[in-house]
Amino acid sequence: MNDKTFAIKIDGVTKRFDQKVAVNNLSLTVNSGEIFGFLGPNGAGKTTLVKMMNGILTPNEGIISIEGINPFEKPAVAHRYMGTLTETANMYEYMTGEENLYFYGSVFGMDKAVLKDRIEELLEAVDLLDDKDKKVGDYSTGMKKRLALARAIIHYPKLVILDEPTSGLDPENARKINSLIKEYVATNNATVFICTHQLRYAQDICDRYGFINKGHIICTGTLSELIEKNSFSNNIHLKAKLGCPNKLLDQFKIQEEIYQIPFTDEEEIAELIKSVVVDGGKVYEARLKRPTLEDVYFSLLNEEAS
Amino acid sequence: MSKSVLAIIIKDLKYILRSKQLIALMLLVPLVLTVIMPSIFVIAISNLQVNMEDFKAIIEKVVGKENVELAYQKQLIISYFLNNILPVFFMLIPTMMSTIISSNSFIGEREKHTLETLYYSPIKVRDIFIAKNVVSICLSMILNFAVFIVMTVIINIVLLAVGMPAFIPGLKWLIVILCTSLAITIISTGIVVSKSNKSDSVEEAQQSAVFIILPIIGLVVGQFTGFIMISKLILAIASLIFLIISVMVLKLLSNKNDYYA
Repeated sequence: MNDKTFAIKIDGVTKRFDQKVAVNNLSLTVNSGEIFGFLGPNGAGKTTLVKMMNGILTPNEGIISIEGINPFEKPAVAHRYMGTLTETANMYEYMTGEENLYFYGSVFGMDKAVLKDRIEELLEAVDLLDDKDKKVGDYSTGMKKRLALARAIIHYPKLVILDEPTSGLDPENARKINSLIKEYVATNNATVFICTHQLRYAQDICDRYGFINKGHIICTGTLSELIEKNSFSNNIHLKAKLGCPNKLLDQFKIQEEIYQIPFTDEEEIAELIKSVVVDGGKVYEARLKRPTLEDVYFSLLNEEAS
Repeated sequence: MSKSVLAIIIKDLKYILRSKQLIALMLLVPLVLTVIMPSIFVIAISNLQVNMEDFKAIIEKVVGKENVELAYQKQLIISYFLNNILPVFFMLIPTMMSTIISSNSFIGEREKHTLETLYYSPIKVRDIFIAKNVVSICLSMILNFAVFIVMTVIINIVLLAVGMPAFIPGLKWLIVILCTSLAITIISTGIVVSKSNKSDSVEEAQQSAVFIILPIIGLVVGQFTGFIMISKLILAIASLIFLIISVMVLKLLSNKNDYYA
């Protein structure tokens, strides 16, 4: 497969800052059209990788390819295909929201006539049309993030890189950002690379994941692949008062009257509840608990640490 | 010039012109040096009862010993000041102005975290550097020219008031305003903008302009003491050479700028 079938191809990339290795022999591919969640704790190397993908930091070793282009050799060319949002890349606070979008649209070489309609469309999509004449310095955190997303996609990039797009946002604004991203991908057949440690939002939006810790990849895959690869099991969460001692259930006790029992077949759930009731017990609550991204993430990180 | 570079130039110009404080700061020293000080000098000399012997040696050097007896010595002193010392200030002014504007160029954007956003756009660092330089050079030269016009008008009003002949800027002035000051502005701007990309503070970036400003101050002192006399021909040739060198230095500096130091 050549580089052009992947939106992003990272091969053996290492980045050192003096004695510290921020990214260590990292290899990763992201397919065109997918929303890829790049997850890891603070200081794992996510932002460093984002900067290298943009060609503004040069790796000590390895190659990166963005839509078939080397971003170190041709950063300005690569940027035409990319839209990047990071926590530290701000817009001009003395300019209004609309003025900022006009400026960045011009910098991306967009025509005035096209830009006017595009800005109106984006401001409406990010729910900032009524605030377009306010200075960005007067915007709330959520408004600034929404405007930054509009700025990142103003030129219809094929690849959108988002570094912590929902950090510092309330749940409502975070959901708004997520739906904007999903809508953009659906209408433009774009690829999105999201760096985040907000797992709930990542699970809501991403197709595939990569986990990074201390500069190296722990594993990659869809949630189902990660669950299978690492042998995570589905569980029944049971709140019950047992009629008589049950050695089988006792081994899965997590709290008084609360049990977490692994299962492979849903038929086992019915059998379990039946057995408790038949033995004179009372079942107060029974629900399926499938492994979440959060379960996988913490488990993998703990495994790494140990 | 690409659309992207033009967009940055327009954005920076709008920002600078919005800032009344910055404009006042840039104009204050030039107006003091070239309008207020010369006006005071003209009035003082025309009203002074002093022994001219101290100035005689300098004036004889400029106009020739045989002409000193024939001319009004006060007129000569004023003429010497206006045509030999004041032009040097017009080399200093655009340098100072461009240092103020350009030292903030990269640092200001880095402090506000807007430089990173620019880096994510399809514009080379070299082009950002050129845009910042164009803003600083153009604005400095326009303000320099504006101060020159104001100075000419005010000085002539003052000369008329004290009964002295009018001041008509000659070839030397043309060379200084159009060529010499442009060359000095280009080179000082290029150095300061380049330093601004690598510095952590405005003061650090501004310090790099001292290597341009100090020789100019030396020139002022030299003119005052009669130690350095520059003829029109030497000035014209030196300015042209310096202009060519300054453009080459700017080109060299523009290729050396990169994303992070």
